[in-house]
Amino acid sequence: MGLSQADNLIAAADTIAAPALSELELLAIVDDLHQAEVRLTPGTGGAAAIPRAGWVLWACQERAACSLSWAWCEIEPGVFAVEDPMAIEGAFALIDPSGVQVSASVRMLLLNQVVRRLPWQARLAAHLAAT
Amino acid sequence: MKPLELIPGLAMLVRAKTKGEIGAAIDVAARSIGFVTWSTMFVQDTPAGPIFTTIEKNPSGYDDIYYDPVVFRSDPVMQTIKRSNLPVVWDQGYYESHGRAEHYEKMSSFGMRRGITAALHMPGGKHCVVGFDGPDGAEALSPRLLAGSLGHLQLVLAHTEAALRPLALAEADDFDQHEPLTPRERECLQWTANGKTAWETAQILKLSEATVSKYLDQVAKKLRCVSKSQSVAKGIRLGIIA
Repeated sequence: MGLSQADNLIAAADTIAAPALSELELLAIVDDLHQAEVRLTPGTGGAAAIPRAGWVLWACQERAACSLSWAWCEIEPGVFAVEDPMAIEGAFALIDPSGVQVSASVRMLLLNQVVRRLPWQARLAAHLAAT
Repeated sequence: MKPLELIPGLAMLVRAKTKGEIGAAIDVAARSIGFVTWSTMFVQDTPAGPIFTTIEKNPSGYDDIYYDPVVFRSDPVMQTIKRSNLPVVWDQGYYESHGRAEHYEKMSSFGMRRGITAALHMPGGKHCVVGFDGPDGAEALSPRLLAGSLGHLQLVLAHTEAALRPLALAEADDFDQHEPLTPRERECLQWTANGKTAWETAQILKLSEATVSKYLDQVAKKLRCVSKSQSVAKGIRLGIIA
Protein backbone atom coordinates (compact mmCIF):
# COMPACT_ATOMS: atom_id res chain seq x y z
CA MET A 1 0.00 0.00 0.00
CA GLY A 2 1.46 3.38 -0.95
CA LEU A 3 1.93 6.09 1.62
CA SER A 4 -0.68 8.33 0.04
CA GLN A 5 -3.30 5.59 0.28
CA ALA A 6 -2.47 5.04 3.94
CA ASP A 7 -2.70 8.76 4.56
CA ASN A 8 -6.09 8.82 2.88
CA LEU A 9 -7.35 6.01 5.11
CA ILE A 10 -6.09 7.78 8.23
CA ALA A 11 -7.70 11.01 7.09
CA ALA A 12 -10.96 9.18 6.41
CA ALA A 13 -10.86 7.57 9.85
CA ASP A 14 -10.24 10.96 11.43
CA THR A 15 -13.21 12.37 9.59
CA ILE A 16 -15.47 9.58 10.79
CA ALA A 17 -14.31 10.04 14.40
CA ALA A 18 -14.65 13.83 14.33
CA PRO A 19 -17.84 15.08 15.93
CA ALA A 20 -20.26 16.97 13.72
CA LEU A 21 -21.62 20.22 15.10
CA SER A 22 -24.23 22.61 13.82
CA GLU A 23 -23.55 26.34 14.02
CA LEU A 24 -25.73 26.63 17.13
CA GLU A 25 -24.06 23.63 18.78
CA LEU A 26 -20.68 25.16 18.05
CA LEU A 27 -21.64 28.47 19.63
CA ALA A 28 -23.15 26.63 22.59
CA ILE A 29 -19.82 25.01 23.51
CA VAL A 30 -17.89 28.29 23.47
CA ASP A 31 -18.32 28.79 27.22
CA ASP A 32 -17.01 25.28 27.80
CA LEU A 33 -13.80 25.80 25.85
CA HIS A 34 -10.62 26.35 27.81
CA GLN A 35 -7.00 26.95 26.93
CA ALA A 36 -5.54 23.45 26.89
CA GLU A 37 -2.09 23.92 25.40
CA VAL A 38 0.26 26.73 24.45
CA ARG A 39 3.41 26.38 22.40
CA LEU A 40 6.02 29.05 21.88
CA THR A 41 7.89 28.99 18.59
CA PRO A 42 11.59 28.43 19.36
CA GLY A 43 13.74 31.44 18.64
CA THR A 44 11.00 34.00 19.22
CA GLY A 45 10.74 36.38 22.18
CA GLY A 46 13.23 36.63 25.00
CA ALA A 47 16.65 37.91 23.97
CA ALA A 48 15.70 37.47 20.32
CA ALA A 49 14.49 40.62 18.65
CA ILE A 50 11.76 38.55 17.02
CA PRO A 51 8.26 39.02 18.49
CA ARG A 52 6.93 36.03 20.39
CA ALA A 53 4.88 33.68 18.27
CA GLY A 54 3.39 30.25 18.73
CA TRP A 55 0.34 28.08 18.67
CA VAL A 56 -2.56 27.62 21.05
CA LEU A 57 -5.15 24.89 21.53
CA TRP A 58 -8.54 25.44 23.13
CA ALA A 59 -10.51 22.31 24.00
CA CYS A 60 -13.94 21.51 25.35
CA GLN A 61 -14.13 20.11 28.90
CA GLU A 62 -17.19 17.96 28.22
CA ARG A 63 -16.35 16.85 24.69
CA ALA A 64 -12.61 16.49 24.55
CA ALA A 65 -12.73 15.83 20.81
CA CYS A 66 -14.02 19.36 20.22
CA SER A 67 -11.00 21.59 19.98
CA LEU A 68 -9.70 24.55 18.02
CA SER A 69 -6.15 25.63 17.42
CA TRP A 70 -4.45 28.50 15.71
CA ALA A 71 -1.11 30.24 15.39
CA TRP A 72 -0.64 33.57 17.18
CA CYS A 73 1.89 36.38 17.14
CA GLU A 74 2.65 39.17 19.59
CA ILE A 75 1.93 42.44 17.77
CA GLU A 76 2.99 44.68 20.63
CA PRO A 77 4.18 43.71 24.12
CA GLY A 78 1.33 41.71 25.66
CA VAL A 79 -0.96 42.16 22.64
CA PHE A 80 -1.64 39.07 20.55
CA ALA A 81 -3.34 38.51 17.20
CA VAL A 82 -4.31 35.45 15.21
CA GLU A 83 -1.47 34.89 12.77
CA ASP A 84 -3.73 33.78 9.93
CA PRO A 85 -7.53 33.96 10.30
CA MET A 86 -7.83 31.63 7.29
CA ALA A 87 -5.88 28.90 9.07
CA ILE A 88 -7.84 28.31 12.28
CA GLU A 89 -8.17 24.57 12.73
CA GLY A 90 -11.21 22.89 14.25
CA ALA A 91 -11.17 19.19 15.14
CA PHE A 92 -14.80 18.73 14.22
CA ALA A 93 -17.08 18.81 11.21
CA LEU A 94 -19.49 21.71 10.83
CA ILE A 95 -22.87 20.94 9.34
CA ASP A 96 -25.81 23.00 8.18
CA PRO A 97 -29.40 22.36 9.35
CA SER A 98 -29.82 19.66 6.70
CA GLY A 99 -26.76 17.77 7.96
CA VAL A 100 -24.48 18.65 5.06
CA GLN A 101 -20.96 19.91 5.77
CA VAL A 102 -20.74 23.68 5.37
CA SER A 103 -18.41 25.15 2.75
CA ALA A 104 -14.82 25.97 3.58
CA SER A 105 -15.66 29.67 3.41
CA VAL A 106 -18.56 29.41 5.89
CA ARG A 107 -16.46 27.19 8.15
CA MET A 108 -13.68 29.78 8.18
CA LEU A 109 -16.13 32.51 9.19
CA LEU A 110 -17.67 30.40 11.97
CA LEU A 111 -14.28 29.46 13.40
CA ASN A 112 -13.28 33.12 13.38
CA GLN A 113 -16.48 34.00 15.22
CA VAL A 114 -15.73 31.39 17.89
CA VAL A 115 -12.16 32.59 18.37
CA ARG A 116 -13.40 36.18 18.66
CA ARG A 117 -15.67 35.09 21.53
CA LEU A 118 -12.89 33.40 23.48
CA PRO A 119 -10.81 35.37 26.02
CA TRP A 120 -7.78 33.77 24.42
CA GLN A 121 -5.53 36.83 24.32
CA ALA A 122 -5.83 37.42 28.08
CA ARG A 123 -5.38 33.71 28.85
CA LEU A 124 -2.34 33.54 26.61
CA ALA A 125 -0.80 36.63 28.21
CA ALA A 126 -1.35 35.13 31.67
CA HIS A 127 0.16 31.83 30.61
CA LEU A 128 3.25 33.45 29.11
CA ALA A 129 3.69 35.68 32.16
CA ALA A 130 3.61 32.62 34.41
CA THR A 131 6.16 30.60 32.45
CA MET B 1 -26.02 35.66 22.26
CA LYS B 2 -27.21 35.13 18.71
CA PRO B 3 -24.54 34.08 16.22
CA LEU B 4 -24.13 37.40 14.46
CA GLU B 5 -24.52 39.80 17.38
CA LEU B 6 -20.85 39.34 18.09
CA ILE B 7 -19.88 42.78 16.82
CA PRO B 8 -21.95 45.59 15.31
CA GLY B 9 -22.27 45.40 11.54
CA LEU B 10 -21.42 41.70 11.25
CA ALA B 11 -24.96 40.57 10.45
CA MET B 12 -25.17 43.34 7.81
CA LEU B 13 -21.88 42.17 6.34
CA VAL B 14 -23.05 38.58 6.05
CA ARG B 15 -26.17 39.69 4.17
CA ALA B 16 -24.40 42.31 2.01
CA LYS B 17 -24.64 41.75 -1.74
CA THR B 18 -23.52 45.12 -3.11
CA LYS B 19 -20.59 47.44 -2.56
CA GLY B 20 -22.94 49.91 -0.89
CA GLU B 21 -24.19 47.29 1.55
CA ILE B 22 -20.67 46.06 2.31
CA GLY B 23 -19.54 49.64 2.88
CA ALA B 24 -22.48 50.39 5.18
CA ALA B 25 -21.69 47.30 7.25
CA ILE B 26 -17.98 48.12 7.54
CA ASP B 27 -18.88 51.67 8.51
CA VAL B 28 -20.98 50.38 11.42
CA ALA B 29 -18.18 48.03 12.51
CA ALA B 30 -15.49 50.73 12.27
CA ARG B 31 -17.55 53.35 14.09
CA SER B 32 -18.35 50.90 16.88
CA ILE B 33 -14.72 51.11 18.00
CA GLY B 34 -14.25 54.79 17.23
CA PHE B 35 -12.96 54.96 13.65
CA VAL B 36 -14.80 57.28 11.27
CA THR B 37 -12.94 56.45 8.06
CA TRP B 38 -12.04 53.06 6.63
CA SER B 39 -11.11 51.31 3.43
CA THR B 40 -11.17 47.84 1.99
CA MET B 41 -9.73 46.37 -1.18
CA PHE B 42 -9.80 43.01 -2.87
CA VAL B 43 -6.82 42.39 -5.10
CA GLN B 44 -6.65 39.72 -7.74
CA ASP B 45 -3.24 39.03 -9.26
CA THR B 46 -3.31 38.46 -13.01
CA PRO B 47 -0.53 38.01 -15.58
CA ALA B 48 -1.17 41.61 -16.72
CA GLY B 49 -0.94 42.95 -13.17
CA PRO B 50 -3.20 43.21 -10.14
CA ILE B 51 -6.86 44.17 -10.42
CA PHE B 52 -8.18 46.17 -7.49
CA THR B 53 -11.76 46.32 -6.24
CA THR B 54 -12.06 49.00 -3.60
CA ILE B 55 -14.63 50.46 -1.25
CA GLU B 56 -13.64 53.26 1.03
CA LYS B 57 -14.85 56.09 3.17
CA ASN B 58 -11.99 58.53 2.98
CA PRO B 59 -11.83 62.20 3.99
CA SER B 60 -12.76 64.63 1.22
CA GLY B 61 -9.84 65.10 -1.17
CA TYR B 62 -7.91 62.10 0.15
CA ASP B 63 -8.76 59.82 -2.78
CA ASP B 64 -6.03 61.35 -4.95
CA ILE B 65 -3.44 60.21 -2.38
CA TYR B 66 -5.15 56.89 -1.73
CA TYR B 67 -5.22 55.97 -5.42
CA ASP B 68 -1.77 57.36 -6.27
CA PRO B 69 0.26 54.27 -7.33
CA VAL B 70 3.56 55.87 -6.26
CA VAL B 71 2.26 56.70 -2.77
CA PHE B 72 0.66 53.26 -2.52
CA ARG B 73 3.89 51.46 -3.34
CA SER B 74 5.91 53.44 -0.79
CA ASP B 75 3.42 53.17 2.06
CA PRO B 76 5.10 51.14 4.84
CA VAL B 77 1.77 49.73 6.05
CA MET B 78 0.99 48.37 2.59
CA GLN B 79 4.54 47.06 2.24
CA THR B 80 4.17 45.13 5.50
CA ILE B 81 0.70 43.68 5.01
CA LYS B 82 1.32 42.54 1.46
CA ARG B 83 3.57 39.84 2.91
CA SER B 84 1.70 39.02 6.11
CA ASN B 85 -1.73 38.20 7.49
CA LEU B 86 -0.83 39.94 10.76
CA PRO B 87 -2.50 43.25 11.51
CA VAL B 88 -0.45 46.45 11.61
CA VAL B 89 -1.02 49.19 14.18
CA TRP B 90 0.14 52.49 12.78
CA ASP B 91 0.55 56.07 13.92
CA GLN B 92 3.08 58.86 13.49
CA GLY B 93 5.80 56.82 15.20
CA TYR B 94 5.25 53.90 12.82
CA TYR B 95 5.74 56.05 9.71
CA GLU B 96 8.73 57.85 11.24
CA SER B 97 10.39 54.56 12.16
CA HIS B 98 10.05 53.51 8.51
CA GLY B 99 11.52 56.80 7.25
CA ARG B 100 8.17 58.02 5.92
CA ALA B 101 7.56 61.09 8.09
CA GLU B 102 6.64 63.18 5.02
CA HIS B 103 4.11 60.58 3.93
CA TYR B 104 2.53 60.73 7.40
CA GLU B 105 2.43 64.54 7.33
CA LYS B 106 0.45 64.41 4.10
CA MET B 107 -1.96 61.82 5.49
CA SER B 108 -2.43 63.56 8.82
CA SER B 109 -3.35 66.81 7.04
CA PHE B 110 -6.50 64.90 6.03
CA GLY B 111 -7.04 63.66 9.58
CA MET B 112 -5.54 60.22 8.93
CA ARG B 113 -3.53 60.08 12.16
CA ARG B 114 -3.72 56.47 13.33
CA GLY B 115 -5.24 53.19 12.41
CA ILE B 116 -5.17 49.43 12.18
CA THR B 117 -4.88 47.51 8.91
CA ALA B 118 -4.90 43.80 8.17
CA ALA B 119 -4.79 41.56 5.11
CA LEU B 120 -5.69 38.05 4.12
CA HIS B 121 -3.68 36.29 1.43
CA MET B 122 -5.44 33.42 -0.28
CA PRO B 123 -4.48 30.82 -2.85
CA GLY B 124 -4.75 31.86 -6.47
CA GLY B 125 -3.25 35.30 -5.92
CA LYS B 126 -6.24 36.78 -4.13
CA HIS B 127 -5.84 39.25 -1.30
CA CYS B 128 -8.21 41.24 0.86
CA VAL B 129 -7.34 44.26 3.01
CA VAL B 130 -9.37 46.20 5.57
CA GLY B 131 -8.16 49.30 7.39
CA PHE B 132 -9.83 51.40 10.07
CA ASP B 133 -8.30 54.85 10.44
CA GLY B 134 -8.91 58.52 11.03
CA PRO B 135 -8.43 61.30 13.54
CA ASP B 136 -10.00 59.34 16.38
CA GLY B 137 -9.57 55.75 17.50
CA ALA B 138 -6.95 56.53 20.17
CA GLU B 139 -8.97 54.65 22.77
CA ALA B 140 -9.34 51.59 20.54
CA LEU B 141 -5.56 51.52 20.16
CA SER B 142 -4.86 51.98 23.88
CA PRO B 143 -3.04 49.08 25.58
CA ARG B 144 -6.27 48.15 27.39
CA LEU B 145 -8.38 47.77 24.24
CA LEU B 146 -5.88 47.07 21.45
CA ALA B 147 -6.13 43.27 21.59
CA GLY B 148 -9.93 43.48 21.29
CA SER B 149 -9.69 46.00 18.45
CA LEU B 150 -7.37 43.71 16.50
CA GLY B 151 -9.74 40.77 16.99
CA HIS B 152 -12.60 42.99 15.87
CA LEU B 153 -10.68 44.02 12.72
CA GLN B 154 -9.68 40.46 11.84
CA LEU B 155 -13.26 39.25 12.17
CA VAL B 156 -14.52 42.10 9.96
CA LEU B 157 -11.76 41.29 7.48
CA ALA B 158 -12.72 37.61 7.22
CA HIS B 159 -16.37 38.51 6.62
CA THR B 160 -15.49 41.32 4.20
CA GLU B 161 -13.43 38.91 2.14
CA ALA B 162 -16.38 36.53 1.88
CA ALA B 163 -18.76 39.33 0.91
CA LEU B 164 -16.45 41.16 -1.48
CA ARG B 165 -14.96 38.17 -3.28
CA PRO B 166 -17.87 37.48 -5.70
CA LEU B 167 -18.18 41.18 -6.57
CA ALA B 168 -14.43 41.51 -7.09
CA LEU B 169 -14.23 38.46 -9.32
CA ALA B 170 -17.14 39.77 -11.41
CA GLU B 171 -15.43 43.16 -11.71
CA ALA B 172 -12.19 41.50 -12.74
CA ASP B 173 -14.05 39.68 -15.51
CA ASP B 174 -15.15 42.94 -17.13
CA PHE B 175 -12.18 45.07 -16.06
CA ASP B 176 -11.25 45.94 -19.64
CA GLN B 177 -14.83 46.74 -20.70
CA HIS B 178 -15.38 50.47 -20.95
CA GLU B 179 -16.81 53.15 -23.19
CA PRO B 180 -14.16 54.28 -25.71
CA LEU B 181 -12.44 57.58 -24.95
CA THR B 182 -12.47 60.42 -27.44
CA PRO B 183 -9.09 61.66 -28.74
CA ARG B 184 -9.38 64.78 -26.55
CA GLU B 185 -10.19 62.72 -23.45
CA ARG B 186 -7.19 60.49 -24.14
CA GLU B 187 -4.93 63.53 -24.61
CA CYS B 188 -6.06 65.03 -21.29
CA LEU B 189 -5.48 61.74 -19.52
CA GLN B 190 -2.01 61.37 -21.09
CA TRP B 191 -0.92 64.86 -19.99
CA THR B 192 -2.27 64.15 -16.49
CA ALA B 193 -0.23 60.95 -16.45
CA ASN B 194 2.77 63.07 -17.43
CA GLY B 195 2.30 65.07 -14.25
CA LYS B 196 0.54 68.11 -15.69
CA THR B 197 -2.18 69.91 -13.77
CA ALA B 198 -5.52 70.71 -15.40
CA TRP B 199 -4.34 74.29 -15.91
CA GLU B 200 -1.07 73.19 -17.54
CA THR B 201 -2.92 70.69 -19.75
CA ALA B 202 -5.30 73.48 -20.76
CA GLN B 203 -2.34 75.66 -21.81
CA ILE B 204 -0.80 72.84 -23.86
CA LEU B 205 -4.04 71.88 -25.61
CA LYS B 206 -5.28 75.48 -25.93
CA LEU B 207 -8.46 74.73 -24.02
CA SER B 208 -9.97 76.23 -20.89
CA GLU B 209 -9.14 74.65 -17.53
CA ALA B 210 -12.85 73.93 -16.99
CA THR B 211 -12.98 72.01 -20.27
CA VAL B 212 -9.97 69.89 -19.31
CA SER B 213 -11.56 69.13 -15.92
CA LYS B 214 -14.76 68.18 -17.71
CA TYR B 215 -12.86 65.81 -20.03
CA LEU B 216 -11.14 64.20 -17.03
CA ASP B 217 -14.48 63.77 -15.24
CA GLN B 218 -15.80 62.02 -18.35
CA VAL B 219 -12.73 59.78 -18.47
CA ALA B 220 -13.23 58.79 -14.83
CA LYS B 221 -16.87 58.00 -15.50
CA LYS B 222 -16.08 55.92 -18.60
CA LEU B 223 -13.30 53.99 -16.83
CA ARG B 224 -15.41 53.60 -13.66
CA CYS B 225 -12.85 55.40 -11.54
CA VAL B 226 -13.29 57.86 -8.70
CA SER B 227 -10.23 60.07 -9.11
CA LYS B 228 -7.65 61.31 -11.62
CA SER B 229 -4.97 59.10 -10.11
CA GLN B 230 -7.15 56.01 -10.42
CA SER B 231 -8.00 56.95 -14.03
CA VAL B 232 -4.31 57.28 -14.87
CA ALA B 233 -3.47 53.94 -13.25
CA LYS B 234 -6.29 52.17 -15.07
CA GLY B 235 -5.51 53.96 -18.34
CA ILE B 236 -1.93 52.67 -18.21
CA ARG B 237 -3.08 49.16 -17.30
CA LEU B 238 -5.49 49.11 -20.24
CA GLY B 239 -2.93 50.51 -22.65
CA ILE B 240 -5.02 53.61 -23.39
CA ILE B 241 -2.09 55.83 -22.47
CA ALA B 242 1.61 55.20 -22.11
